[in-house]
Amino acid sequence: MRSDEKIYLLLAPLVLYILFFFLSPFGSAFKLAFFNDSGKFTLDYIVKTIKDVRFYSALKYTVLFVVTIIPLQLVTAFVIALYITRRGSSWLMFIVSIPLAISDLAAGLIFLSVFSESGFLNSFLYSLGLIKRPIYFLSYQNTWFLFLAVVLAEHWRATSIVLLILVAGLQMIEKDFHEAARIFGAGFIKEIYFVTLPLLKPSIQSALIIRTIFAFQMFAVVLALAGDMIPVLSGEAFFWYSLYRNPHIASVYALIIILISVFFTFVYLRVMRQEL
Amino acid sequence: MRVVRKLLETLFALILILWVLLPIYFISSLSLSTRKEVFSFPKPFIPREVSVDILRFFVEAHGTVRSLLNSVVVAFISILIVLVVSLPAAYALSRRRFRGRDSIMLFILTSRMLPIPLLAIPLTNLYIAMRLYDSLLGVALLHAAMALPFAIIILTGIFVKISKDFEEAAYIFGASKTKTFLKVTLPMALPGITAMLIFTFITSWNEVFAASILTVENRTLSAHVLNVMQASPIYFKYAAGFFLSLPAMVFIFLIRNYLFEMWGGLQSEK
Amino acid sequence: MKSKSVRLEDIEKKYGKNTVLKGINLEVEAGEFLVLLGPSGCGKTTTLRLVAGVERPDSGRIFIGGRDVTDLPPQRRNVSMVFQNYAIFPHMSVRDNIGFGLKMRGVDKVTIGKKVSEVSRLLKIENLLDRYPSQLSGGQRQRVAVARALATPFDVLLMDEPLSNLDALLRAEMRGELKRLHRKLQHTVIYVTHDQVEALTLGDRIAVMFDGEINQVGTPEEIYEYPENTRVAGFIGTPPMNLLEVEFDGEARVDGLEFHIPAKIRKFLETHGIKRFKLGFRPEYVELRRTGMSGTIVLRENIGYNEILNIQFGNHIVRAVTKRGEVRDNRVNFSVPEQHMRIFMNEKLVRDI
Repeated sequence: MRSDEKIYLLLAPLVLYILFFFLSPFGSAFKLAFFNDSGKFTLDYIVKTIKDVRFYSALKYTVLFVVTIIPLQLVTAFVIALYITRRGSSWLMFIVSIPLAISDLAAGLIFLSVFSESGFLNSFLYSLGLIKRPIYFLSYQNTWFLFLAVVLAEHWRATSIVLLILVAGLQMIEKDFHEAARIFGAGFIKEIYFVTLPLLKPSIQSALIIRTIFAFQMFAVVLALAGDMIPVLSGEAFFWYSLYRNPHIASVYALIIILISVFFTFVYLRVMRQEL
Repeated sequence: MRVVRKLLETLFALILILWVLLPIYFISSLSLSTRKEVFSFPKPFIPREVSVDILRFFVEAHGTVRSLLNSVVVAFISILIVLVVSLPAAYALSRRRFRGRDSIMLFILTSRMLPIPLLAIPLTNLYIAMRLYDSLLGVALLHAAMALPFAIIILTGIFVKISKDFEEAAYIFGASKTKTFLKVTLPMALPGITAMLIFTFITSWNEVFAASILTVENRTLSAHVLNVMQASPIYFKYAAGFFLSLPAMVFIFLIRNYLFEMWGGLQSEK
Repeated sequence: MKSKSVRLEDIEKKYGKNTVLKGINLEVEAGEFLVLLGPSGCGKTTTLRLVAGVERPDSGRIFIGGRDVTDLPPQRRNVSMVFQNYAIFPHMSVRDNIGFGLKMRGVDKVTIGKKVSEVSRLLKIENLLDRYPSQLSGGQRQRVAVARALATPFDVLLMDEPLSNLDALLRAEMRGELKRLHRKLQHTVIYVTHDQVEALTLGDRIAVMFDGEINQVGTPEEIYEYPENTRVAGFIGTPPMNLLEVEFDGEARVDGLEFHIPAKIRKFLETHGIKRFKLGFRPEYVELRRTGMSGTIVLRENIGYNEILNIQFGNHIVRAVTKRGEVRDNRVNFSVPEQHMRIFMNEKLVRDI
């Protein structure tokens, strides 16, 4: 019993630290969202948020980003992960994991060099003779292209995380299973469908949940490429706090983000379990 | 057949490499040119000249140097906090199976899943009350909190790998518990700990939302760039993108061998 | 069920600079149970994996039923396999595991169901069909692995040390079961093991491998009685064959001491002018009587009903197996019956004396 006490002593700083920084804001966020500055309960902030025009487009675009980017990343990462594990190419793995270290802000700025007016995409199209003068890709008239640019930048940046999780997962699948599948008559496609994917399910699940939760916080990459032309939930929270100085409505947005993340996570878990 | 397959595989690898490296090449070649060159069109694939003109502009711009220093200070304070909090905890988690171990691990993991806006916005009130608002320490405290869950997972994995036998051998040959930890366990864990600290650095260096919300004057570089970029010329943005990703890329190179361990560890915990 | 022959021709395999198979030639007849026996690292598992198709040879050809399968992937070779670590899929029930090979071949569900119940009855695992591998014991997993291999249509059944992960009692039981199954079903089986008891009990024929080469192929009796060379002689049998270095100058001498050899061998040595050779004889055949050569027992190893006597003879130790307690005195006389003496020249067995 005494050495158990010692262990709790070693763990106490960590637990207290996390409790303080992760749980106490949770409570304060509720307080900010539902109580006014004089401490009275109110639904004004909720109503005001919902009545805001930008709220709906923020919600729409955030969800659109999540449902576009994440399936795209999963497929890309899975294909690359299969290739890397079969070939055992560690240097390729290293190159592909470079974007892992790059922030979403930096990724947005990096893709600016591709899509800007005098950027490399325009130069490339021009040199092929496809266009006569540069196209304004990143303008408010081209919302769908702004969207695409953000998708490409985010896909470039965060696929490496999914890849890392899937490669780690694939490496945990014993080589025997691969060989058994082949010997018992499965070809490439059948092996993936009947053996690899089911065995990789825990990893896919982790990747899906981690990526979804972070994708709902997407913000700097959008800001860098699209400014405020494409609203997203985190961006609105940011603007409400730092521009309009309203922590109440910013908190409402924060709560909406966690609500929607939890909802999606729950859906994933349900759907994945039913498949089994 | 085999030749065609080999060819396709090589092509695939090539596309992969281009996909990852081309954007980095683009931003580098633009950042290393001149302000005039940035607006030229069409752009040649190979830059006409290499210059530090744009980088100099960026560094000399108001606020850059100060926020850069702030970033470094914040990152180092975070590292220090992470080290002090995570070392004993990870050691405890790795050495004993005790009641509540799994719940603690799960608690640590899920805590990281809370969105940053939810953490940062309510924290401002608390920080104002604690006189931590707009302070580097305040930002560092939150960055450390964000890095802690992964730090714990990485460190626990490292300690688990270092067999208890070594420690028991040290006890048998007369070393005390503290001495054993300092002279036997810690040196063996050092490369892994370094990787974990670099990871903490990157987390802090890259974080932008909280750093913007929690400060007004004392911005980190990321927060500074985020707040001034809308009003800045495009070459400022290029230089900023280049400058922000450079240390991150260097550091990922340093910890490349630990990448799998981090995520492998995460998976086996689940 | 039809069964097919297997032929390996001049198979070579390298891993980097390391040559693991140095020209393997082997014929397995249809319906035969062939055991690949050898110490770890001798290339027996690699040979099996080449037949399975999960590895490709650097040179040489592989034929199954006369068809050249060298360049075919495993799924088109029509082979089946029991893995050393079973490799039963953890995400499938026992039923789905057993039916996997049939499902991959596009067989309809009703037929799969019939086959699965037929095979599971054969292996006495009907009651486990709805369980998952994590709910099974090691022995049960073993049975599932065998059931899966048998349910899949195949020309050749490959087994890679299938019993090595079982404890001793279970291993003996499964060994008997495999023997019974083969008698009943008459499949072509290639079975890899390092355990000579398994090899001797199961094999119709045994191929003994060392360092990437097959040293001898023969029935268990041939391998046991007439080992092709001193290496095989020293590997087979517990304890293995006694091997004494003998000098011959009209009399056979071991470390200067006279060793009694029959006239027939003496004559053979004289006509061929042989001065040095190795004499082999199995410890079980050593006779301990009043007559013969004399030596001193320096160690007695108790192996239950019997004991192994270690008899000092010159600088050599001669081992003899006797019923425990039969020999009391440490000074003994021993002799070897003529028909059990084997002569090795340059480490190779001299067959026609």
